Amino acid sequence: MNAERAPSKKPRQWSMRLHNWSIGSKLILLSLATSLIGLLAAITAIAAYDQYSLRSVLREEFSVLANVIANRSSAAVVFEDEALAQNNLSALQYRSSVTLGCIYRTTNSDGAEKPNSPVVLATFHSNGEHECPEVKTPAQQQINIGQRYLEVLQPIVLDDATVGVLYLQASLDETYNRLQHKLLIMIPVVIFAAAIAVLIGTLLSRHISHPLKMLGKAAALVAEHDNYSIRADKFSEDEVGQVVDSFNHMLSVIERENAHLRESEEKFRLISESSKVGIFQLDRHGNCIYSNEEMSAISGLDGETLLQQNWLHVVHPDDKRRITDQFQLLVQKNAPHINLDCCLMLPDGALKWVTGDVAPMFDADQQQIGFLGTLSDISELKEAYDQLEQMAFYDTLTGLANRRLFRNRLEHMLSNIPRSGAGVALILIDLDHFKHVNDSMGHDSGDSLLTVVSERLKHCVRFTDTVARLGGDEFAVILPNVPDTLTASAIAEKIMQALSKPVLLGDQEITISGSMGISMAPEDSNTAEVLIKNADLALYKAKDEGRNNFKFFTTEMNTLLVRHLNLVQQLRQAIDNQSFLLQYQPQIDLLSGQLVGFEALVRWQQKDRGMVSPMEFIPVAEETGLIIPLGRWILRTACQQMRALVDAKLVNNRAVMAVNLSVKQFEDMQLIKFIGETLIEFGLRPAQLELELTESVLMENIEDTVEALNNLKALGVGLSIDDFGTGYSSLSYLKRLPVNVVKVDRSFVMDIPHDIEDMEITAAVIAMAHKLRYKVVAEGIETDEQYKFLRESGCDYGQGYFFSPPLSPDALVDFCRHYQAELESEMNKGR
Amino acid sequence: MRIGLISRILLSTLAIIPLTVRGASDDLSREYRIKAAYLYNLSKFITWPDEENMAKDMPITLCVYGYNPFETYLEKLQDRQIRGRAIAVRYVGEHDSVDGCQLLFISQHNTTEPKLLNAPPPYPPILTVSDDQDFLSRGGLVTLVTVSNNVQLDINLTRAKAAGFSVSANLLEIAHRIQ
Repeated sequence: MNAERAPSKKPRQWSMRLHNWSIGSKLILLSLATSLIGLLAAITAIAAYDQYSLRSVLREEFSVLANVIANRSSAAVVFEDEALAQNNLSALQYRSSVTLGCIYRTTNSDGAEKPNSPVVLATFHSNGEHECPEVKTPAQQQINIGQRYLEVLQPIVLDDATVGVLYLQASLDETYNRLQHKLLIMIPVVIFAAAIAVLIGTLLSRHISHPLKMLGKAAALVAEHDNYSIRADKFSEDEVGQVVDSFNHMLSVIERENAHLRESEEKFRLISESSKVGIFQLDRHGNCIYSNEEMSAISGLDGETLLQQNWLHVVHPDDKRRITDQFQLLVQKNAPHINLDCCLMLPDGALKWVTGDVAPMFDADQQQIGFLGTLSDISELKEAYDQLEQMAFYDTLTGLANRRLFRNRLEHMLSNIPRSGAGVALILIDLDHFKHVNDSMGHDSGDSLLTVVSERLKHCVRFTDTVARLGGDEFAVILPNVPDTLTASAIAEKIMQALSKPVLLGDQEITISGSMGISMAPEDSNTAEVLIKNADLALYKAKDEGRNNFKFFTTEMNTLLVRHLNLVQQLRQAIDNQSFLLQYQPQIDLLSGQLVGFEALVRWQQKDRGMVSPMEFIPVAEETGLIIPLGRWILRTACQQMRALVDAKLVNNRAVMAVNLSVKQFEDMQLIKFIGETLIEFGLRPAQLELELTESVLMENIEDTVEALNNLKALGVGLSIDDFGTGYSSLSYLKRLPVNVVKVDRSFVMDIPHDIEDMEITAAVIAMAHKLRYKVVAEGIETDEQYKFLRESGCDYGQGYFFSPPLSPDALVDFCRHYQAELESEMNKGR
Repeated sequence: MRIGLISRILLSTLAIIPLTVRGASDDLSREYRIKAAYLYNLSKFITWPDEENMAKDMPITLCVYGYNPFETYLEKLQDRQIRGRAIAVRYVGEHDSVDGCQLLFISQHNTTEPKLLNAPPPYPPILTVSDDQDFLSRGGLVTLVTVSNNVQLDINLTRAKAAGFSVSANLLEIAHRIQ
């Protein structure tokens, strides 16, 4: 209001003054002006027309008058009758306006014409002042109306010849007088019209301005009391009435909007007060102008302080700079909104994690009027998140980094290796024989052991190093900033020593050890994957070399690995191409010399490498699972061969085909079914098949194996333990095995007869086996002495080069034939 | 200046001399010159009875009976026209026929008069004019009488009308006497 009506000291323009007049005054003025202008225009037009028509009438009148007089005067002129001419002119006295009349003659009395110098014949004048002017004879009537006079020059014609001229002059004063009179009469008319105009204007203005005034009063009342229920009175249905209607309608709308606004404000207040989210409002400059109770609860500041200081006051010093920058972005750079994520340090020192959002507020004209923000206390969420992160990245048992974090850290460290300087060492640690602890002392003890180990590992390394548990008893240590292998080996040494200290589990004290593989970056590799693989290779090497030591990765290991991988590849192809073959080594009853069976031995004939040792490819086949198809093929082929021998009557019904079975083949769930079907297919009794298992392998997984063996036993097939005496098998376990036969390892037989001690062990083993009601088979018999010693020691059967090397199927047939015949002839000899 | 004065005196004396020499004969001559013009002008105000039926190229013939007082003034009228008609002048002897004359001037100095003046009606369509004061009483139509240097016009309107003439009112206005 004040701004619009700022008083101006400059003199205002008249139009501005008019602008500020009341509508009533304007209307009166308008009415007056209209009527006066109309009247003046009418008077002017009438006067002009009057003058014009008066002059036309005069012109016509004088034209006629001149004609009449001229006509009448022709004889007077011709006959130069002055008296007559005078008489003719005397008629002019009846026209009061005529001031002068002259008759000229243009002929002499003797008839000669003088057209260029007419001679005055007679004169008439009303007031004696005028003399006849000199005229020229006109061809026809000329009427000239000047300012004051009307002049007529009329030729006096007789028989087509101009004989004289009539000149008339009339004063126009008369017309001017008439005009003057008329205008005088108009004055009261104008005054009357003006009065009427003022009257009409006043009435009109009252009719229009009064309702407007009332409307203005109503508006002022509304503004004064801020009361939108007031309504303006309506006096008419005209435009002003419509304005009143519109005004009232507008008030209704405002009233309604106001109610909505109050309602919405109340809603906002309620929501805001009960909200579990802190809500605050800032003005354009970032000053806090509102905050709800939750804001106080979050920030620990009371409402008053919040308004004075803003909650940014309690932002943790570490975050303050960042949050302030974000606010700058919002206030100065017009960012659409900002996310706040920071830590608060409350006045009492407590820390709180909060998250929030601040966005600018705009009014209806899109003008920024401030900012509205929210703030939530996410401390609990943050804790939960941290916990989750802990779970995601840390081992729950030991609190060490898990495999994922280990991998992340390793990759991170590898990417940060400086171009020159120290590298990263990776140590993989495997506890030796941890399984035994778990199996013999229970999983809780195992877990305790792992915890102890993790603590010891942590003490062995620096703060910046990472110790991780990769799963089971596998641990890893990442050592950044390791200048050389010497430093790495020093730490490995330290770890070994730490592990070797006795551990008290419950009331039992045990001693453990670990095997370690170490790889170095960037020397061995730059990538985490290869580095881990290399460390793994080194670890296996360490294990191979008797555990409780550590090995650095060498490129040679890698070469071996490559070879191993090649072998796997070739093995797969060999299985596909069936490039295996079986050889059979006869087994002989040592006492009777009878042929009692055969051991089927698999051979791999490689095109470019020749024979590959089973010792080399069987472990690979086991490792890769290829043993399952290979094992089936062996079983089936052996059974087929057995059938052929039986059919050829080269062996009797009691002869047995022994086939080596890998424990890995137990993973083949269909194995037992397959064996049963194969026996049926070739019409063999189960007793004609014997499955050989290696002792050391059996013992590693005794519980599962016993079950599998029992199932096989139930099928009726024979079971034997290969390499008997080489493992650590405790007798209690052995007793549980459903075995018929044990095979004495060739290492014992080999030393006969040189090593007395071994011979005694062999004899004891044979005796013990017999005690357990096992039959005993000795392998690798090569000499007569060995044969004799074993026979004397009570060994049941034997096989070896002494009797026969492993034979191809064809050779086997020959052997059987000849052996039977030889035996019979020898028997006959013996008899 | 002196020269101017002398020449003025000389000029004024020279101007006086011819006026005094010419004397009375000049006055007479002027009178008939005016009267000749009167005849002409008179013809303009008077319409002949059968004028409408006359051939267009037929002139108005002004005849002078017997004595011709006009010298050659009438001849000078011959280059003028009356209502589009040429003017012919004819001098008629005392015994000559006046047929073909529209106007017949009979001077006061004639001793005889044409017969047609006293002829009974119907009157011939000849406008008879004389400068004899008693002409009208003798059956004439128009007289031109000189009274104190002015020519007076008398008209026997009754007889003129009877003869079929129409006389302009303008002419009647200047007429001195109308019978």
